[in-house]
Amino acid sequence: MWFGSEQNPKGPSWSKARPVIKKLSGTRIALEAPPLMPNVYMPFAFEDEPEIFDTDSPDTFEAIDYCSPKPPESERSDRRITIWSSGWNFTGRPLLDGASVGDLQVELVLEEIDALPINCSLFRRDDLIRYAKGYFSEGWLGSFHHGFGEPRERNLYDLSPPHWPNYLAPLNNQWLELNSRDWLYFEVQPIREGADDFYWLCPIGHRRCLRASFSISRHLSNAGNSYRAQRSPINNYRELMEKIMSTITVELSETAQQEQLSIENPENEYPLFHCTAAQVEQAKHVMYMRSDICYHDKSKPEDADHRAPKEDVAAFIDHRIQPRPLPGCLAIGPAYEAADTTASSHTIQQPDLKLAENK
Amino acid sequence: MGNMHLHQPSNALQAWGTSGQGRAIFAKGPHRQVLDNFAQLSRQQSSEAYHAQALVKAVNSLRGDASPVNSMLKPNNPTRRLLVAGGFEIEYELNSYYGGCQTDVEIMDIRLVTGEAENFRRPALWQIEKNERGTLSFPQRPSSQLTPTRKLPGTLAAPVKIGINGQLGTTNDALSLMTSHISRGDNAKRKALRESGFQLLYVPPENRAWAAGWRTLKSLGNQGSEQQHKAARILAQHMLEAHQQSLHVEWTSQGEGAWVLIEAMQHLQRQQINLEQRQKIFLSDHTRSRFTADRARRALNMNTLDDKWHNAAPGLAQTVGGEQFGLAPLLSAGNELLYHTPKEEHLGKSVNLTYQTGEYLLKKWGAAGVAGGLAASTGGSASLAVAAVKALHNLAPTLVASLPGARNHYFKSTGDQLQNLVNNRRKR
Repeated sequence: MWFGSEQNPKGPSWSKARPVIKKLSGTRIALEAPPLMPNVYMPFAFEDEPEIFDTDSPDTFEAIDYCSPKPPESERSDRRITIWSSGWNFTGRPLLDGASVGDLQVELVLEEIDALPINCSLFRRDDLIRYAKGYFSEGWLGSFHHGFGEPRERNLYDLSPPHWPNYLAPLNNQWLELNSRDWLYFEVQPIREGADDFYWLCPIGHRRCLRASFSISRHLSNAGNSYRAQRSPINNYRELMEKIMSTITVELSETAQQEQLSIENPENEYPLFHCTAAQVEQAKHVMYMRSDICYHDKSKPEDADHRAPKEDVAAFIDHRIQPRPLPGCLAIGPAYEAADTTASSHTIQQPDLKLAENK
Repeated sequence: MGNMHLHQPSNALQAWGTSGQGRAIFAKGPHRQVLDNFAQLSRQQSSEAYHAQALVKAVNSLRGDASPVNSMLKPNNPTRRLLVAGGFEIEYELNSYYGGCQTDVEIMDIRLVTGEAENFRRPALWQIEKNERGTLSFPQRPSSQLTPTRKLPGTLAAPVKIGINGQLGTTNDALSLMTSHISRGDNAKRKALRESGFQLLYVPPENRAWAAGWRTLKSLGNQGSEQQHKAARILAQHMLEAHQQSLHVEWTSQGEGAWVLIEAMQHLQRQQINLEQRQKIFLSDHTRSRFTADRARRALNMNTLDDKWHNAAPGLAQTVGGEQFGLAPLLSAGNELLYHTPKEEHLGKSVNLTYQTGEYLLKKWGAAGVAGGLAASTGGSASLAVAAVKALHNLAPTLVASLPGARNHYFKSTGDQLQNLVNNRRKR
């Protein structure tokens, strides 16, 4: 295939892949990836990060500026450093589709927590799940926007509009074994607009975690929202991501190895977390309501309703949330949690319970 | 007895608020109530109050003797006026309720459009900052007034940076593309911009980008869409707000955003506002005449010290609208010579202008045309003239740059080099 198309975007050739090696004070991370292929839509993919990081020095990390205060005893990371940022442009037909139909961007980030609740370690699978829940804070995956009713039902004095989430997550949550290391994986579906995100987490210390975040954004004409962007399939981007991640090896430093040995995980017990049925229903509604952003149905007049049919959006979500085991999958759960168990997923209470057990 | 003073909302037209001086504001019952509610809300301590304040302030600004910069004639309506802001629109008419020459304002409609703005269907100003994930993102709602951020407080050293986007695909693309325009394509500046964030006057793109491009070509970059007209009013108001708070602002427009920026500057120009060198503009891929922008920024007394204030790839719309086929820089230079150059530097400027005019003619008519003119006017041989003109054209930059003292100045263009040489000679 010489050229790609919107239906089959053409990314970088895998034959150009070369090793990327990062040394973090004894811990060595190696993977293979094609070199950075920039486009105008990725201003922050630089690929100019150094090869060696001194993770013992306090200056290496930068503090994360959260909008909400950290819940006490929670396992939310406090500092981080980006150790590798890159991206690859995907093209369609020359000239007709412009310079880009989409791109895959990646960020390899080392994150650190100041202090953990007693007896906790990211090497313990339960704790890593709770750590992942820390991403669902208000300024991140838990972010929302102001919703609205049907145009005619809008109220002038409605100063407290409904909060609509920006993302449906976590989806397709699973544990994987990549080159003899356990990784926690989950996906994020934007329901207004923005990139499709994929998270890969691997602990490299009691308080340190390696996060690989991949974002797939599509740059199509007349498709400015998450539903319409699905016009161009996601498969080629995912393929490249999975190829890159299949080459990643993490060799722990000696201290980290000691730390890992001190933690025991119950065998064949892989805790998972899912979005709830209520969240899925809400996502269907939000995505339907927002399917007219930057979209214009040419067969309809300018001021008509340009939203997609409700059933189509619902069908897309139903299809999207289906679990899809990746190579090396150790454990995978259902599409969503049937019962709404928000109370039991409270991160604050669990450490106390542990403490009580130990007494 | 006591009932007599009870406030009775009536549907009749009545004056609202206390009017000391200036125009009276009349409104019907429901609108008065809306205004009362907002006036009350604006006195509380909340984020809602902040938006209410903006509305009350806007209504009171109608009392002034000049109409506010963000008021415009409603499209397709002869008398109705529209006050546009990020979060609301107020329709009003100028009447003479008491008779005589004193006009007063009658509020016809108040529309809250925060929802529209929040959904990116309406131009509004957004404070773009790094989110918890470490990427730049839109906040939940746009800001109704221009306020500096913590990291860019609007001082001389850290001016408020505001971008105005052109016709760019989707909303999130506008964000990443404006990042590279505001940082002028420079990696180090881009990294700094990620830390500091910026503000974006988001103008929703039109459904048909081709239509917008065609309008630019058809009108030589002079016409804007209804959306852009509104955006220009909103921008003019923010420009004025920045001026009232003595903030230093750097405006960067991208593509068709230039139309909005220049239009807004012209609105302020009509009110003869002196920005005291605190604000400056940068046009990136502008599709509206650079000369118009240059005239407006000088009239507003903007900061014109930056040598590079525009940058463009020579696309069709840019060449036609932005450069007017190469005439815009000439007009700009002529304007500067006539109105903004001290007497003793006139000669140098004229030399520069002459050189640039020659360049322009050469580019437009080709070497043969100029030589033909030269040969015809001097009665010489045409072929010799062609050779002479071509040689001169190719050699001039080298010749000028080789003159003693020519390279003391940072090189901008051969015309500029000549100007510096001539002026220096005269100063000695």
